[in-house]
Amino acid sequence: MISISPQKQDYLILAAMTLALALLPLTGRSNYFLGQGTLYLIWAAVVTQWNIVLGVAGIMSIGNLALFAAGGYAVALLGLYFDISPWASLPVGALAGLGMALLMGLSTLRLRGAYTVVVTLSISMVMYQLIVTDVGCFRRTASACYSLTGGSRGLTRFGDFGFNAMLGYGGAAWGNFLLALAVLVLCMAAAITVIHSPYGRAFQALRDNEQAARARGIRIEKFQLIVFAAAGFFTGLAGAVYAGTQRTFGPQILGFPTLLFLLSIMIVGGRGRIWGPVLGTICLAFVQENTTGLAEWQSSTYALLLIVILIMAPEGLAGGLSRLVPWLKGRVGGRTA
Amino acid sequence: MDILATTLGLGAFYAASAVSLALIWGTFGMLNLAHGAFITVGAYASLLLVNELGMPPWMGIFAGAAGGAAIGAVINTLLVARVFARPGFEINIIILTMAAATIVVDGINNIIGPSTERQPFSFEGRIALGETSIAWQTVMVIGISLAMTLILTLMLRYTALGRSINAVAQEPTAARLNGINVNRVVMKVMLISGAVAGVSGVLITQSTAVYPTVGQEPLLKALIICVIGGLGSISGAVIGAFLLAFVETVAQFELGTKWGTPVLLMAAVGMLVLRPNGLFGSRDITRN
Repeated sequence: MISISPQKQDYLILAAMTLALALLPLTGRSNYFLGQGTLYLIWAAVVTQWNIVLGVAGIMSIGNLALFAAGGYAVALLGLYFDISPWASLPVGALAGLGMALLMGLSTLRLRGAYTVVVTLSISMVMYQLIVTDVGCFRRTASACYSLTGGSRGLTRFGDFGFNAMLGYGGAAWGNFLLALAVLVLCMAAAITVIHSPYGRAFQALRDNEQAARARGIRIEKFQLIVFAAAGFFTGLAGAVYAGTQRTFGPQILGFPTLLFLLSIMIVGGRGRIWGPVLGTICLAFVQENTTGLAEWQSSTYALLLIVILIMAPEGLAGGLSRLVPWLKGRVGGRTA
Repeated sequence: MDILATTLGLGAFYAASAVSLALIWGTFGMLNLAHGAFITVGAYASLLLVNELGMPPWMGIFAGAAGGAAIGAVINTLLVARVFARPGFEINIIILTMAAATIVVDGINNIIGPSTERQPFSFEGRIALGETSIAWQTVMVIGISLAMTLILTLMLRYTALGRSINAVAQEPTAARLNGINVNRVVMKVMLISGAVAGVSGVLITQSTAVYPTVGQEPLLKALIICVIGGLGSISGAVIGAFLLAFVETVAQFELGTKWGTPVLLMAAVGMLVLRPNGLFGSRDITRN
């Protein structure tokens, strides 16, 4: 058998997954399917980067949605006040996420464990509170008055990616889908590179036994910050794509239900596992689409799923799968060392 | 003078909501994000007992304690006991309690209803103090908060339970080898912490109102207070509470009401950057 490195293997799986997903719109799916698919692709991208920060680099940030919101609001505000198309403001959104990540990363650099949780949560809550309490009159129309950030109602009508004009009527749905897929692929490729880099192994050493790792001279605070900043860049980009494809952006993004949904994706998929976020998104998407009947209990459903997986199978779906594959190989191909 | 009076009242509120969080964080290194749910359940226990069962309003505070203790026991049995002293406890319990808090809020929303109610356990009237005056309620909140803090501190230092809590906190395995039933000690701490949080829920909702997410803001404030005060320090939490109340009050008076919480959070984050272990914390009890 040809042996390929684990890193190449991951890139190959990613390429196959990308191809399959890119062909999906051609199978005549409904616009609803593509719309939901776009959302899930974006969430998978966000969780992939969050997973690198929390699950791999060991930075206990639960404020990653602030990075997402920074990117989204950058696009929404630039579109609304300066009439800049989301295409042009995509890089600005990514840089806004990067800036937010640097702010968070620098303020938590010397902190440990639960302290990091509190500070990152606080920063995203400050952002939430400042937006929600923003009721001052900034822009006046004939009938109403709007605040700078749109307050708790959020922002709308700041433009979109214009796929309808580019691809003809009905093109928006699959244009958006492919754009979201592109962001996910970018985030995954970056994540695979980080995990298989020497730093990825250093992170793992630190996570498994910090004292032993430090005694062997591993000091990676600087690289932790770089990984966090990169996550900010990609998460901000995802936020920008969210704003451009959903054509609305509000502070609900920073609320607990969204945080819990994404956290469930990470835990169910397998924290610290490269394929965890994708598997988790598939699972949670399945749950979400099949529990629309109990809308008011939906958050509880995710919470319950998260609790059960974390207690019963802390390695998540990816962990289970990684044990299943060698077992299957053993069954099919006899004994292979 | 107004600033001082507001600071005292607010500080007492904050101290009430922070001590129980400080207790379990300080002893077991467990950051309980269901703390807000404890507060909410306490407030609703008082509401239901008085309004639905027709008990006299003063019973509300005991209902709050019982409700808080009950949710503490439930969280302990279903979550804490399953991951305590295992690898990744620190982060796992944060995630688990966050999920549990969601279920509690959802449950109250769907079963009791999302409406806003008045807390029946309350006192009217004010005492004049020179040019300003303090509400009886504030006096009572200060009294109860200080009493709870004092009892907890004395309990940790001088009783057998306090000594076994410290033993479990320092090294669960060693405590178990020395004949301490670790699970039972953790259960007791969760019961006490739940009861104290439940009482603080009743106290806090006197000045606001009772609604499903009422615990969220006290949770955030309590987190900041414990971080400022330093881990493991109940007295640090109390000092942190009054300090933050002062900062928030000054910010509200000088910059306007909406800036209170943001300035508070930013001050706390700024201080942590300068002193990563908090004002009074020195030991690092991180355990993996």
